[in-house]
Amino acid sequence: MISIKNLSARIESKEILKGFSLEVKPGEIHAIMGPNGTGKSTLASVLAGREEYEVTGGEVTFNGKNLLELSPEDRAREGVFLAFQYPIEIPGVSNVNFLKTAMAEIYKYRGLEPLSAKDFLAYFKEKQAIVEMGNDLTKRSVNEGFSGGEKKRNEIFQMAMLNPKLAILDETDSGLDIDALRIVANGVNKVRNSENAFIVITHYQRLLDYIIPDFVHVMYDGRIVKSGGKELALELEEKGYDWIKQEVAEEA
Amino acid sequence: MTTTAELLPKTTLQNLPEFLVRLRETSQKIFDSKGFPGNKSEEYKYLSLDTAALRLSLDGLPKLQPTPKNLSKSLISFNAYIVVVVNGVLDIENSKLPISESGVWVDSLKNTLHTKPEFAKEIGHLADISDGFVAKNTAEFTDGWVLKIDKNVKVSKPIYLVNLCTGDASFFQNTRNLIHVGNNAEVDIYKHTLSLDLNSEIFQNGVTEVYVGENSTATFSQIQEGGENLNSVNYFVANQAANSVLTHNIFTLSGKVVRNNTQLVLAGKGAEGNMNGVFIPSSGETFDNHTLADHRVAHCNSNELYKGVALGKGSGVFNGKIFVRKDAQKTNAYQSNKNILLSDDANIYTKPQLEIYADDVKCSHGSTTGQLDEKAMFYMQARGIGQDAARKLLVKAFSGEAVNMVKNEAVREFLEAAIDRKLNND
Ligand SMILES: Nc1ncnc2c1ncn2[C@@H]1O[C@H](COP(=O)(O)OP(=O)(O)O)[C@@H](O)[C@H]1O
Ligand SMILES: [Mg+2]
Repeated sequence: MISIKNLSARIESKEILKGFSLEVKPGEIHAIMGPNGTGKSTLASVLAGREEYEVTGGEVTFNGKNLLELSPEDRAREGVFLAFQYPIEIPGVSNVNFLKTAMAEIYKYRGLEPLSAKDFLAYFKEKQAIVEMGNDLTKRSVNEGFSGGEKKRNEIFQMAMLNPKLAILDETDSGLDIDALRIVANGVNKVRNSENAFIVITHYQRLLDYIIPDFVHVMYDGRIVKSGGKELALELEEKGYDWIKQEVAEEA
Repeated sequence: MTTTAELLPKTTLQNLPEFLVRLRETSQKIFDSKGFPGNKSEEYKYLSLDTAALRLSLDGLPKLQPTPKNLSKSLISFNAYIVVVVNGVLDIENSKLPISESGVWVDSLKNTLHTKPEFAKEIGHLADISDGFVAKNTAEFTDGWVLKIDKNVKVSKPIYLVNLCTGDASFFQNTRNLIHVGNNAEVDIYKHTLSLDLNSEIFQNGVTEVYVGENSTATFSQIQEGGENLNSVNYFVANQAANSVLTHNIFTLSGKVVRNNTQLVLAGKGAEGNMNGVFIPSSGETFDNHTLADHRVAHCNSNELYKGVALGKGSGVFNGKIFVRKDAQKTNAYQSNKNILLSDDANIYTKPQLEIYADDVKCSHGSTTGQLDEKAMFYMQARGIGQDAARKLLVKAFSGEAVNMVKNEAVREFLEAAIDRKLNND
């Protein structure tokens, strides 16, 4: 699905990604964990196409296409979805209109007829139920005045609507209480199938109780320094990151 | 309407009230000595009025033009009385006038001088002839439309004034309009300026005087789509009696040089005056808005919201003045102007002015000029929305705050579509 090889990127002459590599196949869930400031959000932004970041090396192939050459909107149309760590508020643009436009643009790109108003509405309702988003929220402007948890739920709602091939969730669990966490995880599990894949960036092992990863990677200083199965997450939860930092220091 | 080959002579107005005859003489003198205000005048300094356009003048009015057959396609379709004005001349045949509704009167100014001489006496008392364009208009106006709503009448449908410019001739035209809304009356008026087959540059110098009676509610919304050959100075002044509510909305979407002077005079206790606007100049267009909320007495409110979006090499101006006179205690006056520049070559000058001579007042004003929110743009792109569509959604949201002040849904939808089209053409 996606193959990231030796990816390096910087912002304002500060090198943040330093030879990041990761291979993700359809049907897989990869968790990326790591200390703050290690470059996890930078990775997500670079994959989504934020222009502020300058890619200085490496390559990213997404379903056979050079992802780095595509505009952000074309990446989304190809099936990449980023659930933002800090979702943006867009006053005056309703959630419905926002998603209607997004789907129309994606369908156009793929050469498909847009959904009829009726079909769109039915589809919208179906996905709304998955994340328990009431009309009170969806009728409002995108994320405007939403609580932190509501914003995260809205990200998952958008993901369910756009049905991506690869979803990157950037700390979608941060700031969620246990009920909201369950709703978000449930949303992911409902969307998940053998054809799509997830990269789940998180600080906490607890999300991984609900979304069971196939692989857990530890990211430190701009690259993956350790990979393992879901038991690695438990180990990190218990021991923190200091032993990883030590290992890296010893190798150097 | 038939086409005639002759020009209409300029001095065709008869039966002018004595007051107006003298006012026209005074105005002529003022204009002769001062001429048009140029860039050196403080009030008009950002308005690069093309001098050639100002010199446009025929010895008379342009030939009467037939109303183009395809006009209806360009109009807003909604259930309204329709008043079609072609190059400043009322076209009764193509209008749907409120003939059968009692207490609602629409006619040309020329006819009104004869048929309602008492009403005609209201002309000329509000507009400020120290402004060169108003002086020119007052001295030389040839016709216009008048609208009278009797007291206690709630007009059953909106009144839709179509100000159509068309034809091959270049001309300078002074139109004079009068609106009288009686006490306790209610009316929703739309004025749509547009051009069809307008093949030469013209200049419209319009003055509209409005009396808003006690306890009445009136809205006046202007949609300006004059196209590349229309220059216009559009002066609107309203005098508001006690407890009246007037909402003036103005949407300037196309035109060459467009200057909107909007002045609300809060003259009776408890009056509320609202001014909202959207202006979207693109390359070759200058849209200049000057507003005045003139608080003359106590306990009045004014609210103002103007949104500018400049594209290409477009240029815009917002100059809003809140004037609170000595006796106008307990005034609430709010003003907000927000602008977005969609290109590096676009510009919008903004200047709020507060002049406050009373001490117990609440006034606030704010203005911002910036680019589209980059973060919101990226967020939309990350959802598959291309830059053009994302820009349209954001501009629609931005202008929507003012568009939503319009009462009629069909008009709001028309405006949204027109704004979309404007962005398409950029
Ligand atoms: N816009 C920016 N300008 C400068 N430095 C940045 C910017 N964004 C992120 N950084 C820096 O890049 C590093 C990685 O940040 P980030 O990718 O957000 O880490 P993480 O998501 O792992 O916490 C941090 O040191 C952060 O301060
Ligand atoms: Mg982060």
